[in-house]
Amino acid sequence: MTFRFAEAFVGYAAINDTADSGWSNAGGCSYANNTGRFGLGGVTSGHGSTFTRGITRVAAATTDAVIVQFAAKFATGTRSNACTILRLKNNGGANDCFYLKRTPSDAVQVLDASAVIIGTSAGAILTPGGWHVIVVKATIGDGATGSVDVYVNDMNVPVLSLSGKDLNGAGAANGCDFVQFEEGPGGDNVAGQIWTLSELIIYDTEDTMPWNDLIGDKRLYLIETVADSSVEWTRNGGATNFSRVGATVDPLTGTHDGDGTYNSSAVNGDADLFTATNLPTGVVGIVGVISVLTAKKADGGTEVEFFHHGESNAVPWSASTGALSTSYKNYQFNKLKNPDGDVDWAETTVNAMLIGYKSAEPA
Amino acid sequence: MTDTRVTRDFAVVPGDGAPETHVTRDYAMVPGDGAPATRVTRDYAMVPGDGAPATRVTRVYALVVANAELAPVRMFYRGIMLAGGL
Repeated sequence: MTFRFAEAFVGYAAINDTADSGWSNAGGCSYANNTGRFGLGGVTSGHGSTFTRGITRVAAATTDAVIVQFAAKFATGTRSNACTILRLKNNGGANDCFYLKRTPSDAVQVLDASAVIIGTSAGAILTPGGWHVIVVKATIGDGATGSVDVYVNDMNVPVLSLSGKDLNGAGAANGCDFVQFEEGPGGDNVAGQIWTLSELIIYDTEDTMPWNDLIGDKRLYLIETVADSSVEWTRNGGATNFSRVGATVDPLTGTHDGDGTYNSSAVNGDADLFTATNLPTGVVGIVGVISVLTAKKADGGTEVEFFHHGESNAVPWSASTGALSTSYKNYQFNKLKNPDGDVDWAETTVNAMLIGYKSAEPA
Repeated sequence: MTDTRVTRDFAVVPGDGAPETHVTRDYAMVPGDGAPATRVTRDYAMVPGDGAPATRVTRVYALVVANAELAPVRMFYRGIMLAGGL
C-alpha cells in the first residue's frame, strides 16, 4: 500500500482559496471550513448549484486499485435529486471514470464512466446527521477490467461490489489521478444537500508493505510541535522556533498566518527539529506518519529546494518537497514505516519522534 | 627668421600644452563616476530576501493514521482490582 494523499483540512484560510490548500475550485463552489469528525478539520459543501461544481485535487496516478476513504456527515432535509459525493477522473481531470452518489432516499448509488447507473444499495444506508466512513476501492479499467467496491461504516462487507464495468472514460489504462467532491445538483436548492467531508485518505495497492488493501476504520491524529529540540533557522521574533510554526499561533480551526510568524534560512543544510504532542493513550494500528509543511521561498531565485525532516530514536529521515513556490503552499510527506529499524510505528515511537524541516538546494 | 617667431607664439596659447590630461581629471571627479559597479552590488544585497535563496516555514505538523478505536486499557485496571480482591 502507498499513501497518495491524506487531508485533515487543517490550517487553510478556505478550501476554495487554492493559493496554498492544493485544492482547486470547480465551477465556483461554496465549500467552507468546518469541524470534522473527532474535532479535526472538515469542509462543508454548499447546495443548489445550477451546474456541477466542487473541490478537486490531483492525486498521483496508479494503475492498481485506488482506495478513497473519507468521513462524511449529511444534512437532513428532503431532496428530489441524487447528489454526487465523489467523482474519480483520469488524465488530469479531463475524463470521468466513476461517480458515487447519495440518493434522495439516502441510498448509495454508483455510476460508470458514461454516467450510467450501474448499482444502487438496497434501501437507505446513510443516516443524516451522523458520521459515516465511506470507502471506494476502484480499479480503473474498461468494461472487462473495471471494478469497484463501496463500503459504508463496515470495512469487511461492501454494500456494492461490481466488476466488468467501464470505469475508464479516456479509454487508456492510466488509472485514476484526480478526485472531485461535489455540491448538490442543479435545480435542487435545498439545505438537505449539504454535507461535510473530513479525514480523507487516498491510498492504493501498489506495494505490499505494510498493507496492500483496506486499512480499516482509521482516523487522523494531529501532532503539533511543543518545544525546540535543535534549531538552526532564524525566527522572526519570539523566543522559540516552534512557536513560529505551531498551533499556538495558528489555531486548528484557523489558518496559518503566512509571514506573520515564521522561521527562515538561507543556509544549505540548516535544520529545525521539534518535540511534538503525544498521541492519546491506547492508539494502535498505526499505518503511517505524514509530515505537513507550509513553506515558500522568500526570494526570486529558482534553485531553492526544501526537505521534510524528522528523527526517530536519532535515526533521521528527509524527503524533498521539490522546488518551492514564492507563495506559501502545503507539502506532505508520508512515512509508512519507522526508519529506526524499518518497522511499524507504535504509540511510543510516535511520541518520541521529532518533526521539522531542513533547507537544501538541488544537487 | 619670420618663421621662427610664429612657432613660439603657438606654444604659449592656453590649453595647448597638455589638454588631454586636464579632461581626464575633470571626469574622475564627477560624483558616482569613480566606482559605479561596486555601489550597485551593495545596494542590491541590502534588499530583503534578495541576498541569497531563503526559505520560510510558517506551519508544521504531523498527521498519524491509526485506528479510530483506542486499545481497551480499562480491561487492565479491572484485572488489577480482581487480583486485589482475591
